[in-house]
Amino acid sequence: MNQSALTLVAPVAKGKLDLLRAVLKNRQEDVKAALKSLGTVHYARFVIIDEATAGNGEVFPAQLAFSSNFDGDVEQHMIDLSVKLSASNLLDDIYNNCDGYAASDRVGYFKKVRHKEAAFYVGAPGRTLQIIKQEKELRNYILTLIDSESWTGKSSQAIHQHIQKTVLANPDFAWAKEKVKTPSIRWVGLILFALVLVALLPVIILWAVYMQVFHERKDKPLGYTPNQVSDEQLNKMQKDEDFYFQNQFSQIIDMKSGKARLITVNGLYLFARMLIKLAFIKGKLMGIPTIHFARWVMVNNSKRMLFFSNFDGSWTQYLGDFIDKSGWGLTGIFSNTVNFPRAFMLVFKGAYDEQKFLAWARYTQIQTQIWYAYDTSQSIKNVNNNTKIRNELSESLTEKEAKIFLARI
Amino acid sequence: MVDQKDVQGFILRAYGKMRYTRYLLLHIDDAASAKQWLTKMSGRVTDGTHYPETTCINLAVTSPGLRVLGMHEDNIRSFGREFREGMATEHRQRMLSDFGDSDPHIWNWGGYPKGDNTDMNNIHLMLLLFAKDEDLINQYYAEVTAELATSGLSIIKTFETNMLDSNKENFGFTDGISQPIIKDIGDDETNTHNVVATGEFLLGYKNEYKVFPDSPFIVCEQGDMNLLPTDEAGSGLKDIGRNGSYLVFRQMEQHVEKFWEFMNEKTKATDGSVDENESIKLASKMVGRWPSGAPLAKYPDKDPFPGGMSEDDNFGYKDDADGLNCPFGSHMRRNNPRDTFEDNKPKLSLSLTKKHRIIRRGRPYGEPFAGNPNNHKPIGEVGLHFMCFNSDISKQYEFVQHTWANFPRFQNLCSDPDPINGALENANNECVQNFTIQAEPVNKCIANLKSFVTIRGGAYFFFPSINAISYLGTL
Repeated sequence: MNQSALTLVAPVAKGKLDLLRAVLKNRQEDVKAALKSLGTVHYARFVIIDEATAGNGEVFPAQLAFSSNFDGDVEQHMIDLSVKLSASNLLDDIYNNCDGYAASDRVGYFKKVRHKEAAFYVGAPGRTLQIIKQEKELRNYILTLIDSESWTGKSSQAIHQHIQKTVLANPDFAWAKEKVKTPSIRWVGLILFALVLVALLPVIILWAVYMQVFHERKDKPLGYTPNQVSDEQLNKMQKDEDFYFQNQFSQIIDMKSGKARLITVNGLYLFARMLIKLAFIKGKLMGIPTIHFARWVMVNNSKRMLFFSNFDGSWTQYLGDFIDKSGWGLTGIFSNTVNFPRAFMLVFKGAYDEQKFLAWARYTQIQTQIWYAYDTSQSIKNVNNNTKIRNELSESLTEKEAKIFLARI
Repeated sequence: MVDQKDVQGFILRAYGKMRYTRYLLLHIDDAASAKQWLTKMSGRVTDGTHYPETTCINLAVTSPGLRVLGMHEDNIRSFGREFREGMATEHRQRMLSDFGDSDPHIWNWGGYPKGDNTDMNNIHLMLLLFAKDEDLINQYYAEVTAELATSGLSIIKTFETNMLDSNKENFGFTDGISQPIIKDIGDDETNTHNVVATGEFLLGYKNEYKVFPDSPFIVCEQGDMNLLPTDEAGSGLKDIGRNGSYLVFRQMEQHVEKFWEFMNEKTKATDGSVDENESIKLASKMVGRWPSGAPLAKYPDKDPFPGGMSEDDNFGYKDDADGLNCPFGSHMRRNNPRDTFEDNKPKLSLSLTKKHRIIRRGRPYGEPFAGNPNNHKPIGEVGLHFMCFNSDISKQYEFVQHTWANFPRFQNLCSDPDPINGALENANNECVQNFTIQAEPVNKCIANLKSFVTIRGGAYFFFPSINAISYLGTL
């Protein structure tokens, strides 16, 4: 079963912002319990996007964003949400503070305020909550099994066979007989895609030159270093961070004005979507090995960009990874938004200006009022490793393969 | 090239010959006299060009110290956030995992404000004295303290350290071997894998990202501005940080008995007796080096210099990519993964780890003691006065402690905190704390790790350049 994304962005009704804030604060635990009861939600969040004024004076009124990463399709998920979250008026208490909400047609409202993701990344495609849970139990079971016996003198193959026999004889793990399907890198698609890119290369280069000459040179980067970001902003973010070895990141940024920027960012979204589909299916997004889910969503008539992610480790590690592993890709996308460190020909400089990039990331980050995570005890690497254990368990392995299998535990 | 005359020597040298130490935490009672004293000190502190034979002296200042000296709030604001806030904050507790017995609320010094003179707001300066023998340190200490009394400074706490000639810390392992080579200070740079950009340690220089790390500038003119250099990054402001660094100081009590009892218990012979070799081997697997200091990456089976000493630092892990020699979760490998960080190629891995290096200057305290399986009961409290230098506390010290030491999912591990300094004492039932020894045919899991280290105090300091010390005297 696939993992999908839902993003709702609803306008907050005039004068209702404080009320909404209070509901999200007071009913935080209710929301989490309701989300858990769905049995399909990996991560979810409610984020208030405060009123803001763009550089050209345009005012963006306050909005409430909801996002979820879940198993199955969106239609069913919206129905599930409307049912499970409506208990004890939870949904109504929240969305009564938003324009246009009617308790009589909750799903209809969701559809109205739904925003499609411009790009959506899944760190462990195909792994449902249930699979993740089962495979975690499987790993722990095998770990105990290994610890309870002496294996000296036995070949890896023999040990694997013994584990296989013991586990599969246990009715609790009957499901492990079947392998779980995980996508593999689509080389044909990737080569075709590369060919298209090569064919388009002159156009892309011309476009990058055009962007440099007519846009990037006139950019006005934020120019802050990390220490110049206000303490108030840092405190606001850090007070919610590092309770687990997983964290979330929410960000709202204004697009730079002009069609060229929109064309560029859409081109890069397409590029990202292709790579996510063809290549980034093994738990790494552009080389970053810690992301469970991430998404880009255009809001306010494509005048602003919303970015949400759920990741392992600390903020410093995560943002450092951005620079170290995929500075070019992020520069390509984010340099189309205001305040980003000065880019050169779309993918150069930008994020590589470490101090300015980190400052920009903190500056544009916004508070997440409610963050729900089903399981914070596993990294995305753990999840993917557990799947390999499961899939290799029922196979007949060579000595070399069995060695690799045992090293995973 | 770095002007080493302007750099306080302790950043560049460990003062290995100066085995006797007094660290003095000072409170400024009278700012005017303290400033006069600082002016005098600027001519006296040991700089980076000297390899003194008898005594050395260096000094550090906290953010409350800068305030008491009269630094303008806007200028203090330009110092790094971690330094300004101090080590005891709610968020930082989570980052550093300072809970239970290590909670800053009950630290002996440097913790949350509690109104007495040992809390974070009352520690203003730290003076570090070094001498080559005991008589000299006593004499030096007497001289210096006599002067403090008339300089508006009072002593909050004095720490002594006791270095064994073998450079062993209290668990019994040779310590402080691996250090980065700072670029452009005239050290031998042939081992390029270990040469790290100046700006990772000294403010005012470019770091491994080839940009200038945040350095404190004087944004609101005060004092004798001519004493300070202008910001190299081009803001036009005076840079009080240049040639200085941030010093992290944490007092870590080491539970030597508990440490060796744990190793003995986990490796005991079938008749219940202590299996000395196996006990040492387990402890070494956790440390990443043998008691002599010889790295497991090179000597996986037994200590090549039992009872001796090795300072071998010329190795990587690329030939041990499966962790069979040195476990991924061992203290040393995870705190500096060298050429095998995550699944990156060795070259990329090295360039990534270089962004998170620290210069360590720890020294043991308490009874000079090096434990082993059969001798593990030191008299009184023993531990490590852990110190390190870095230019960005968040990207370096805190990153290493959080993301490499405490993070139980480091690399591909699942529930393995650093077995030496990352395990929680009172972990709740959901928190599994293991140590995995990669092995063939199967990995060995050492379950239910205990905490062998308790934090007793700590603070972040600014370690000013010598010009900056002069400048502080003119505030």
